[in-house]
Amino acid sequence: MAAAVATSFPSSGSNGRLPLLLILLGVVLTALFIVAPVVVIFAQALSKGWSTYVAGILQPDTLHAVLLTVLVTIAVVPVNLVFGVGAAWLIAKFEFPGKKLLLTVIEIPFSISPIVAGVTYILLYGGQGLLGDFLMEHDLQIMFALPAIFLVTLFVTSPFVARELIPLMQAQGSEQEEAATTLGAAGWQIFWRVTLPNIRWALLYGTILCAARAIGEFGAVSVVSGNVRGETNTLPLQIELLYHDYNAVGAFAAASTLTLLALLTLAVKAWLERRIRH
Amino acid sequence: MAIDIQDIHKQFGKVPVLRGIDLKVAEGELIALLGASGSGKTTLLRILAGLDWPNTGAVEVDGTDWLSLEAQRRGVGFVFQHYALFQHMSVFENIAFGLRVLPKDKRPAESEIRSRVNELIGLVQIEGLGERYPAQLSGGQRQRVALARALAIRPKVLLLDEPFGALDARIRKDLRRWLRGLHEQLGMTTIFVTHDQEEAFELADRVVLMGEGRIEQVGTPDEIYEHPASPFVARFLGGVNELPAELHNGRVQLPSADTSAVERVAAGDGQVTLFVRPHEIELIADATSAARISDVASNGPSFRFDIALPGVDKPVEVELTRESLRGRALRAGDAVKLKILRGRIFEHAHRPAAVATAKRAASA
Repeated sequence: MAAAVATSFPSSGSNGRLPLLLILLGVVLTALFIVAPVVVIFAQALSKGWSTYVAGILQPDTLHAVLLTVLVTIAVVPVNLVFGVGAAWLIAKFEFPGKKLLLTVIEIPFSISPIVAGVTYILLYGGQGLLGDFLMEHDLQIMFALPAIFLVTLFVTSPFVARELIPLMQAQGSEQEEAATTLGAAGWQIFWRVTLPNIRWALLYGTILCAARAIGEFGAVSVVSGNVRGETNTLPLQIELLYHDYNAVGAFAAASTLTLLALLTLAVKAWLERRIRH
Repeated sequence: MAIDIQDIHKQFGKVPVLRGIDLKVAEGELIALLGASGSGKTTLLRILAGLDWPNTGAVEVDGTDWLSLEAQRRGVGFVFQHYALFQHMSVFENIAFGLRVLPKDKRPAESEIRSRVNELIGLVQIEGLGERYPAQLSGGQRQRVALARALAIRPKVLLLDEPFGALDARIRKDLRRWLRGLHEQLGMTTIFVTHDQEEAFELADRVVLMGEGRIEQVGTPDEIYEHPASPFVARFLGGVNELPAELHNGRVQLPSADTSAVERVAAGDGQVTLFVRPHEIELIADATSAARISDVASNGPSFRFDIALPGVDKPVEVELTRESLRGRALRAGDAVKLKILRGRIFEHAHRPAAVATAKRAASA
């Protein structure tokens, strides 16, 4: 009898234990690599009390960094939104020569290291760069100023919206747009009334990813910003600077604001994902 | 509206899809474009709607050039195979779409839009579903919404792409009758695409049978069934025996068969193919005949016999009603003579042999 039971459930013992082990491994790794750092950020930021924490955030340079980051994000996201929708619309709804090439070009920022992107911009727009003389003549300061930060952030975050939309729009095809056409709708009416509502959740999702990346971008910005305190330091750069100044509380206080922004983004993203599935 | 299609050619890349389409559609006609997939029927429909353009050729509607007109201005009601309903709009808003996108000076007042949409909801019999979304509807209901949406702009021509293709068989039959009634009620020129012969024959005034980008035959369902213009058409309609025969002095001759009832044709002597449908053959017990019954099967109201004919590879299918067989015993293995009641003769050039004029006059 016992033998019969053993043969009908030959590996129930090890089968029952393996999933548990894997789950445990997942929990431990998540705690170690994701939860612990977040806890450390807030613990360190608050290690000398709330007042020091608040003072750390309200420090003029840090406050300026927060504002600069928000400003850059607000400037970059709409541009990428328009570019992303345009590119996705072109790729998903039309056939033209060079379509594969365009798709590859859109993905270049994903495959290039942000540092390399930053250096490329210096070689282009810097004083010794290709366009350096022209910019000098016209008194245009791009490098080590706001325009450079804006441009590299734009470059690094440009694929997010387009990559989110292209598969969706390709799957949807053009039938609804064609139906709208036969019903007499003009091009812009079709876009606003049919195309845009059909992609709205994916568009929001892509925009949030784009914003998150714009807020957190470090590598490319660090190359082109010039790290001028209170002027061209974005929040990620400010955090590094404070840390190198041995101002641990200030650094972690600044980091906590970045973390909060990230958590907020995640929450909105999770909420949106639920909406998309409905 | 009367539509005049002249010598339309269309290629996708290097693949020719339409190779010279000529067709005249009269005001108020209900036309079926019938063909297998790849015959170009949907492309022709899309060209009429303005969703595709031909490489060469012309389309005139009531005497005006139709191809220079944008799709938006053609006033065509188009029903897509998969309906293409706007997923994010309610049924009501789907139907109202064509009215809402009208320029301000032509757009009806909100109250008029409401009454027109409600009227259409009544016409297509989906009362009470106005607030639902497409995802909450059955296939048949979606089909009706798509039709109401197309009708909202008061189209002069209604184009339907496989209108019943995505529905199950029972709903399909009901909807077919209903659409026929609706056409009689509205009276607008209607063209629909289908691969289903039964659907085309039951619904259409005239059937346009297409194959490989060409029109094979245009005619009423009766004309096409009784006088298929080519072996292609005869084969497309299905269930037909192709018998190799000999033409002699305008009469077709087939061993072990009595072909005296087949019409004389005006063609030179030689090899021909006789196309005969299973129910156009009578069986006569004849011990001297070389033809034998190889199989008998009943499908209820009628019996199907397979006849092995010397010199013919495939067995000849014969269908006899239970009534006509009463009092006769025909069993597998029996020798029989075939009496061909009707048949169509095609020369090997794949063109129909013209029926002798004298004979045609006599039968008319």
